Amino acid sequence: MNAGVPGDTRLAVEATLTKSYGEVRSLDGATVAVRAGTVHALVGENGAGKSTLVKCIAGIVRADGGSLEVSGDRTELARWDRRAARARGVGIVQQHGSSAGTLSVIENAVLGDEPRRGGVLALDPPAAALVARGHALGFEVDARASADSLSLGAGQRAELVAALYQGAKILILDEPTAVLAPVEVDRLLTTLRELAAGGTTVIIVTHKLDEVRTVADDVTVLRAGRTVATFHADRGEGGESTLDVGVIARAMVGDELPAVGERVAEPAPDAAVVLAVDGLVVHAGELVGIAGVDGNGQRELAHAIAGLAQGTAAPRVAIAGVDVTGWPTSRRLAAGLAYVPEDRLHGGLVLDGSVAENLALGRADVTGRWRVDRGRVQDHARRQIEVLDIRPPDARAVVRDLSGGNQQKVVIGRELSRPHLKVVLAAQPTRGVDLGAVARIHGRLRAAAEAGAGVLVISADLDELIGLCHRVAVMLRGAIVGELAGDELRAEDARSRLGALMTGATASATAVASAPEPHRILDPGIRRGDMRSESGPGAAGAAGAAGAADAAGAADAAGAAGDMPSGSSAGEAAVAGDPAVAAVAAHADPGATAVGGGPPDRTSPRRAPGARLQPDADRGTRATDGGATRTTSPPPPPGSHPSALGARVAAVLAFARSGGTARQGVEASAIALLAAVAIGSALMLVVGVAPGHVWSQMVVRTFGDSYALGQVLYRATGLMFCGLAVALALDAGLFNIGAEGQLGAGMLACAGVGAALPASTPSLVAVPVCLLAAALAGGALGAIVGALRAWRGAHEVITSIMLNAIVANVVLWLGNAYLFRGGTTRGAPIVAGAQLPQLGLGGSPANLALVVAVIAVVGMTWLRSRTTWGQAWRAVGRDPQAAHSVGIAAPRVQTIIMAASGALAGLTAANVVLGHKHAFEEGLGRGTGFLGISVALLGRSHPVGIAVAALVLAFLGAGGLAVGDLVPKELTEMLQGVVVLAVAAAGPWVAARHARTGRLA
Amino acid sequence: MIGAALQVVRMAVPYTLAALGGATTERAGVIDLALEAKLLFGAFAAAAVAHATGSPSAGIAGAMAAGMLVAAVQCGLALGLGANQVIIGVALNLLALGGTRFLLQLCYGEGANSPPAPGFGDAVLGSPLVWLAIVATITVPLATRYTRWGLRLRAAGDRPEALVAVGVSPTRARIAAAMVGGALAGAGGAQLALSVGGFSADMSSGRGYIALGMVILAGWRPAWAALACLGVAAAERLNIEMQLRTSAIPHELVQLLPYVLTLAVLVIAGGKHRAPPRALGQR
Repeated sequence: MNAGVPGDTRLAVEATLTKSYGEVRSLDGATVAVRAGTVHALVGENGAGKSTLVKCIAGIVRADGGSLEVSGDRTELARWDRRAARARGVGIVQQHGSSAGTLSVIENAVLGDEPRRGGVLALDPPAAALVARGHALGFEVDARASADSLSLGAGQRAELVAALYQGAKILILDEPTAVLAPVEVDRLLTTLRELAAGGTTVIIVTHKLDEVRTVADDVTVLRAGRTVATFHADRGEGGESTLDVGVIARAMVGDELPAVGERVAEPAPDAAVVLAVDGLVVHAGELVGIAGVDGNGQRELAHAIAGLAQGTAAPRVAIAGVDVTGWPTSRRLAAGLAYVPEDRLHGGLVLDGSVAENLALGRADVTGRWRVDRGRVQDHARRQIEVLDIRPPDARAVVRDLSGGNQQKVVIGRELSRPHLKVVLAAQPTRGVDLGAVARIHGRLRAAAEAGAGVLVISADLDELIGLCHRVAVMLRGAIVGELAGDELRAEDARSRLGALMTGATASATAVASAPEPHRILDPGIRRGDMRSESGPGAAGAAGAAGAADAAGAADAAGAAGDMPSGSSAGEAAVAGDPAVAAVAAHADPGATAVGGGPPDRTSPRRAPGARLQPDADRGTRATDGGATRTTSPPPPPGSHPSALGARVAAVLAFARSGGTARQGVEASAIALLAAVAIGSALMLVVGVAPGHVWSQMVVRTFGDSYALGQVLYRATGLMFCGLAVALALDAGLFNIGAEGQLGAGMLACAGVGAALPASTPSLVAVPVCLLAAALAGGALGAIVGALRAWRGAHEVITSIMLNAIVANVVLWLGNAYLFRGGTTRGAPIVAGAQLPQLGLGGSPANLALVVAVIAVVGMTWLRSRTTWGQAWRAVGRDPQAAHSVGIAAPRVQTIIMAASGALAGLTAANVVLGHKHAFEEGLGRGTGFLGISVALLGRSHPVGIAVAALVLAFLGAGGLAVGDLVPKELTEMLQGVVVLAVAAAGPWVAARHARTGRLA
Repeated sequence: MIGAALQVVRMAVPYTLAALGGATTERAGVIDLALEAKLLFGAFAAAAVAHATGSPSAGIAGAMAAGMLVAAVQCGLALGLGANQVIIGVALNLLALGGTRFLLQLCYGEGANSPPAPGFGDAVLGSPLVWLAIVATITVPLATRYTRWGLRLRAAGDRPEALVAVGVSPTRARIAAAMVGGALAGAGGAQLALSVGGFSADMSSGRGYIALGMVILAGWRPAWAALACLGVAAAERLNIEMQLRTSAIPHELVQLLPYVLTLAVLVIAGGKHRAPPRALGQR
């Protein structure tokens, strides 16, 4: 290329590295040579391997192979970790920060080498040193502020200063400017030049070529994990760089033309608009691409169209001429949308579900409205497996075990087989997918367009968009900055022109970069095809400013004519003559008029005007206003509260499934039981009895004696209700630790109603009424917990614990105040009609409630496997995001399931009150709720497993009593705890063992 | 008045020590539902050791050791094996319920009560446990903030990668925190047993869960958690006072106050409540 690296200069870093993630080769021998005391830019498209390369150099990621020399010394790659890198003076400032958020800047900086005086941290001297270091660079650093309290820019500066404080001689910055406002960018770049002048080596990863031109001495261009070009800048006295950004941009995107597949015919000029969102329109039969570097608002655009980002900031969207703004995802899907989410692993698929389940997820047209029609689900799966060549061709295969390409085919198969398809929104449809799958997926997208749907493809892969689409628009900083269509897209320079738009590297790019706000570029008046990249972002920016005024006028007109004006009232804004689209376009973000007007609002936590579709910085939505940048929490996606507490449930679920396969689950339970028996035996030896004798006596005495057997059944009945309650909640992704309180409320309600009924009430009325009361009382408590979790984000474990305590006290109060009679702790007896007949097993309390419990087991088995309801709640439990993206309302499902769970726990009263005690007593069923957790876990939350687990634990309890003369009954009580502990431990153990043997095989 | 206040302090001791222990453990990233088990085993150990040695101080040491033992099992399974921390907690609590009864049976031949154990007398301030609670309320927050141990435990709970990057094992930091937490919670158990002169089955009666609730309510800040525990104890005391006189308000409902308040805070603050340590529950 134009210049090599001058050979006589000392090299700070010389690396040639390979690194693969699974099947994907991220670094394929990428080479970089960094001269000491220079600023070296690493550039490339998304997925080129820039970040991986610097992470390998910094010791965050371990390279698979290659060589790495730091300051002239060869490093041992296998031992090259972050600690070693730090010791050798390699500092890194990561894209999203790497400091502990609740720790202060100085605490983060000293971590691992804390200065102490008399056992207490002495942070003042280092803090002063850090601040001084910052001053030298012109940064104000608040060393005592917690990292979380800093803006992204200030946090980054603090990390930079901290790295230097720790003695970094080689400073790596991974896309440092992505989170900065323009003013901050300038400051940072100046600082980097100063650092290099002072002898520090700087490696900066970026995709913004104007910055490269400003700051870099050398440039290394990566593409597909390889180094494709290096450039060297000669800086004159004025610091003016000789780098040609046009040449670099071409090197980044490559200049060979993509293989063009057979193209779908252009849509007719009068084709109807099927999708309109802000200024973007897609016509029937049209394939439109959205190009852009990741994080420029593509995800926000997709979420806005799919209805995943609700709220005032969401732009207006019309599907097939109907304004769907504010509609939930489910209604949009029903209106003809198909949505292929960007990340199949997080939101596209229920990984632990089968191929057939995933293909039918949320598809009521396949499964049927209520009952799952298994035949149709299988047929549907077979058809899709054939059309898309999904491998293995097995509808029962678990999706987690499929390759990335085949997983993506499942998503495509589900979404593109929707009936009455109007709009297909495919985000990164072929990311990380093998070539064969790419062809199939593209084929399906083309077929959808040919069948008359409008297809919007968001992709980071230019080849894909050029080969597939009629029109490609480019997003930069949340706005569409230009587009190519028709012949332009087939011209040789299409890639470099798109590349230039994506990186903002055109001549007029600086004009856009220095503007205080990203402009609304597309205004409603611009028709399809009018916008061409010749106008360039600068010109388009001016057009946008003018267009914004038009938009305001149109918005006024639209407002005057009501929400849905006729075509003529917003005539100029009418796009392809569709009134609803015009309304949407005219409504789109009137705030855009503020761009050129008053100063941006600095205090409002809402998005700054005009800063729509701001790139999402990993966790938060950024609102950029002038110099200040801050993070605001995005609204939590319903049912997937982003707290670490939420992770508890996910972990419980992961545990309950124990790595996914049923066999492992059963194995873990069996191992746990064996372990419990072993521990029990050991304890018996401690007590001084022969374990063999005790166990055999336990079996003989419980199964040989009808009373003891009845005791087992009586206990098992209550455990079944509570076990089912906990399992049902687990199924839906909730941990019901409140069964104890729910059953307490159930007992009280059941006994209260039972006692209040007229004495002559017949059984047919009395029993159902009492059961209903019990279920309602428990269910109400469950509903409270579920609703708090779903809509307030309050974690169910903590609310349940509080409710347990509250219920216990309220029950006691009601008992004392109204129920307990004559100094006893027993209430009035229930009427004879409400009593459940006992089974007559030797006078034991086993009663007909057992039948109710068995009905519950059978009913739940049927519900969860054969109904759409069961599918919905399990989908929510396994992956709330995936459920959400196929239109299942996770908060509603979780609330209902939690209520049902509480009702099941409340039904324990049938066994205790109606079947045995016939009155309310203090402490009825105490402990059963907590034991229910054990039952659910031991039964792997499958209803049949729960029935078995309930019997096992009941046997331990009742059997312990039966052999009370041989061993203390407390021993078996304790074993119940040991069983749960053993299950908890056996789950990961079995999973790890299987993973090991799997690797060996 | 002062007497009543002292009684509240006395009743707050088990809650406070458990909550301080829980806050320490959870701040390091380990979910501490097992507080109940630590209280219960701590109470049993205190009674057993004090009975055997005749020294209530030895009982305290025994209780702290028992709490640490539970914490060690917890860490072994959760951090060593990677078992789910919520389930480990629930399981240990169940085990403690049955286990202490089994030990009672094993040691004393009866399943409900231990033989009488010597205590520290009726003077509230005569009990070292009360002083331990007061001192811990002051020192735990300070130590979390101003010592290397505290800094590393906070880092382990917030961003273990940051510790790994500087060559410190987050697991070790967590174990170090959990041991201190276990000792504190165990001492809380000692107060339960020694203040009534012996152990009885299930004598913790959910205090561990409540203490954890207060930790969460306090946003994982130990000093605030201790304060919340004082509130719980005050409500409990008021409940007892009101049982002795006739009152328009049912005394059982007075005790609800802290729980209802906690719920109210969770409802009002919702997802905006102080976030838990970022790495809580991870291995």
